[in-house]
Amino acid sequence: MGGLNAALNSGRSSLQTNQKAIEITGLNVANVNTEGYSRQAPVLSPYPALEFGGFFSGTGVTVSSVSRSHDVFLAGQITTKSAEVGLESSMAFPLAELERVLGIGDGSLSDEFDQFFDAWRQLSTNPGGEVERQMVLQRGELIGNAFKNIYDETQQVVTNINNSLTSKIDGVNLHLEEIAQLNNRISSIEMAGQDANSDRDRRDFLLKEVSQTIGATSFETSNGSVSLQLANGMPLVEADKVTNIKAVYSGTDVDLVLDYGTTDIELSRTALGGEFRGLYEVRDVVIPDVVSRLDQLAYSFATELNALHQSGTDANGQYGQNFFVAPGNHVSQGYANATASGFGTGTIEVNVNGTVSSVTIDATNNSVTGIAAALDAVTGISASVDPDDNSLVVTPDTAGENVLIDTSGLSIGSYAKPVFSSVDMASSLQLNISTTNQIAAGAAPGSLISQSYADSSALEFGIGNIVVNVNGVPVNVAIDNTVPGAENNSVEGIAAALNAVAGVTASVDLNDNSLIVVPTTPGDTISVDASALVGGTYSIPAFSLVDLSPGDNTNALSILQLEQQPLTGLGGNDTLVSYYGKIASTVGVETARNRQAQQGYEDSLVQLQNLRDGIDGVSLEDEMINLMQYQKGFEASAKFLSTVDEMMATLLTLKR
Amino acid sequence: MRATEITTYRSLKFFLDSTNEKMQKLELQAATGKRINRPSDDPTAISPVLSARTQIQTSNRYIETIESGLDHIDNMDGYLDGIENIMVRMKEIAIASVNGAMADVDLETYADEVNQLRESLLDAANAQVDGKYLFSGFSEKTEPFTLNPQYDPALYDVTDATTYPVLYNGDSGVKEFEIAPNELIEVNSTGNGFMMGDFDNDGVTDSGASDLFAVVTQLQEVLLAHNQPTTLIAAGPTATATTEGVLGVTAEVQDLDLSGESVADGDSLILTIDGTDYTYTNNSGASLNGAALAAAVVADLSVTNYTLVDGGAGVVTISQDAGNESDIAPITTTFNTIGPTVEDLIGPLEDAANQVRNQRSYKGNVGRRLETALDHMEQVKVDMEEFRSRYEDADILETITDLQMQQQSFQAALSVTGKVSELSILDYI
Repeated sequence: MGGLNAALNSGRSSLQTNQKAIEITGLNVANVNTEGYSRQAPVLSPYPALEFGGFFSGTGVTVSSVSRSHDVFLAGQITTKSAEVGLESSMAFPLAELERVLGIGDGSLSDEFDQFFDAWRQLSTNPGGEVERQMVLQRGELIGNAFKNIYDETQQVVTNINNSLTSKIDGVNLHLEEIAQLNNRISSIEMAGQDANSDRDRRDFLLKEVSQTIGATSFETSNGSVSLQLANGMPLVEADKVTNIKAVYSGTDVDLVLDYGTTDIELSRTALGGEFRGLYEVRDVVIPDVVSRLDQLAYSFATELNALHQSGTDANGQYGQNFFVAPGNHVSQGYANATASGFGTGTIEVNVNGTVSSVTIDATNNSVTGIAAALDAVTGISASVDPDDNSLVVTPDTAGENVLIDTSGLSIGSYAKPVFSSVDMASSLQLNISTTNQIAAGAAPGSLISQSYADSSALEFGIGNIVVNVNGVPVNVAIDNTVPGAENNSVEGIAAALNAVAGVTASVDLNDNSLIVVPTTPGDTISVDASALVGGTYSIPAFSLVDLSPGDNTNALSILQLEQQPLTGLGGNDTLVSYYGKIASTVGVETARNRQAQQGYEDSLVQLQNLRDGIDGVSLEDEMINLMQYQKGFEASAKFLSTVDEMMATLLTLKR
Repeated sequence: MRATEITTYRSLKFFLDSTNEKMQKLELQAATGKRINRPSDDPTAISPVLSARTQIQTSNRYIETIESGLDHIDNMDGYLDGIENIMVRMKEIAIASVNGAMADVDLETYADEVNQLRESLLDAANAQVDGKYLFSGFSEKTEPFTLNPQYDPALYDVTDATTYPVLYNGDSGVKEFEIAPNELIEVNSTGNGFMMGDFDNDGVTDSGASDLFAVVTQLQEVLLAHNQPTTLIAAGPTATATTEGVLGVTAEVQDLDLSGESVADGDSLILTIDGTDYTYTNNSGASLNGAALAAAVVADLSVTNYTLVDGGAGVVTISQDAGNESDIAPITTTFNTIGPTVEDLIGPLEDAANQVRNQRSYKGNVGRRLETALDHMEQVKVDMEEFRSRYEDADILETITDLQMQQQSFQAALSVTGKVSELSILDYI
């Protein structure tokens, strides 16, 4: 057979083919805004030619397949770039939050430091003033709150990060499941010789999403399915098998594990990429660093200030107490080897509640254990080595005592000088004193007052020696009643005898006949021990400290020095404010870098996507022209068919 | 490259986003006037900005401190001026009362005035500002000067603070203000210095310095005694025994030469031997001097282990009676000397007034230094503001210009977006 019937058949195939082509164009137009959709095109091929009457003629056209425009290189680039965009963009929000917390404007921690010292400076002009003292107390409390607020807010950031981690896991697992299903479908469809174009588009899109969230990489196997794995090679999807990710909670901490049913494999930060890696970076690297430096700042501030405060005298005439609650333990950085002689030699100064001891470190004990033993020998503290990381751990024997360890006297060795800090110091910095009287603005207490007596000239005391100690030098003062006319066992007599001692001025308080002993040079330490007096009817004078000098601002002035002084605990070059500035600028640098990188990666991702969509995407213009083209083809086929039909009719009219 | 709908719109959206973000940043800069609103805006500027802020804050406080120091100095100067005037008036009285034509009753009137002035002096020295004593050192709640209830003109001893007419209860605390980093300036004056002449803080009046209260009290006493010298106890010469005090050898106490001295009836002479005081009281009914005095002293004192011998010419010798174990210890005497007359007091009064004048001029210098420091600190503050501003503040002109540029480009982007959506192939087929 041939002839017109064959032509009819050919026309039919042409109609069908053009119709199919229009359908495909319609599909392209419909998906013009579908993310990841690749332009499809009909592949037309003529039906094989058949021999008719000695020559070959074609029998029509068919859509042999629907091709999908796809560039493997660009798809791979986009997937990789997505991981980078995911990493940087996930860091942006928590970093911006951190940056806000570690502000540099009014109300920031540096501002609090300025205000705190300003209060002390104000106090130094009027050390007895109740208002000024109240200011110092309030500023001290506020600075503690400022530290705590920063700490709390960083922990809030951590909580937010944990929340977004857990909320993203379900999405990732769904994606993984879907990829596995698509693997299955694509391989079975393609095995049957069909095209799985839209499935592949969907899978490419999912791979990009998964790359963006957890940085998983993939490769395609020969049967068309992809293997998806984490950065460290752990498989996530293998053909149609999925390993799910799940969150493990320990307290408020969240960790990610690969769920192998009976066993879990913990995912470290380096195993991840994309958004999860970014969140992990902020949570496990940036924030702990900021917190430990805040701890260091609070630690140095508290211990240095306490030591200065303790050397002064408060409004009750007593030695100053700890201004802030002293840290309970003092831990240095870790070292590689506990017994290696890695440190330099020299001296370490240890100040335990005002008592300064010097520890000599030489070639025999310049190891971690050696220093620990040497520090342990200091009265008032215990020192040991933490076997986990070979760090030095120092604890005061009496809880609440202030310990200030200055290692700046060590020479440079292969090990860095130990720098002590205390974990959680930033979050627990709070005032130890509670009343304005306890603020020690004056020099070391010196003035002593005894109990009062009935008569200042009555010879009623016992006799013997009174020991007067001026700056550690004892002097015996004889009280005697044996020589008539030279008796000095009266209040006045004792005052005169004590007054004769160099370095002290003694007098009688005319109101109540008590003895007052004052160091001639303010700041000298004096003590008077009259316990060796024997006999007499008057009780032995017992001296207690009294603040006779409310106008003394000496200690306030020395505390002011702390503001401008580079502190050993802060590396020896930084003041309190500049150390805070460094913390803020570290976060600032990281945020600025992140912003820059995020912008760069997004820019290049946009470029790549434009490239991909330029090549593989749907252009309405193209599709409209194709539409017109196929429409014309359809119209022509129809015309052809009607022509053949007319010819058939003509033929049929031949016989009447 | 083919431009497809999705690429066109994506590019436009990206561009609009980034222009919008730039605009937002510039708007924030324009609104706050600050170039740095968060650490990441310029991490390198954080350290200079924070340090400048600290310095501005401290400068403000230094300025307040200096002003309070100046107030302090002004207050003190007011009282010191009062004290100086009192001393000048004292000197006038002294000069006026030297006139031999003065009747006793006039002298007594003067004595009365001196007494009143002495009270004023005490009040001025106990000056209080804001409930705190100005001249008591650190002991600002302690009244620095109180009358000595045990004062006895006859027992006045310049080396013994307990015999002074007025006692100093303050301390020697030097109150310093920090007026610039590590620059301290002494703003107070302790009363023991310029009032009592105890500049070395050893509790007694320094030699060459004046105890204003003692001088004034003496003036009052001598005026009350109608310018007749009263007998006052003064420190006597220290007598040192010859060193070799072997048994039988007579140690002559050369310095205990009584030939020039006299002891009035009822007055005493005190000998100190080996730390023990022996008092001779003249009960003879008449004033004794010279050899008679020495003889009376020797006759009166029976000293265990020692024998006092009248060596003639007013010289008392001392010998050891028993035992040969020790040298003759140094002996000191304290005996009555004649008190000063009004004439004698004119010089000390002038010295005392000068002592106060010196203190005023010293404080004047401190005041001048404070004023210089104030100017300096105000300059520092301006400089630091400028420094901080350079780092932190936005250049408003630049910001506004940039903002307008961005707004224009945003508008351009918007109109392009509009044009793109207007242009469609669908309108043409």
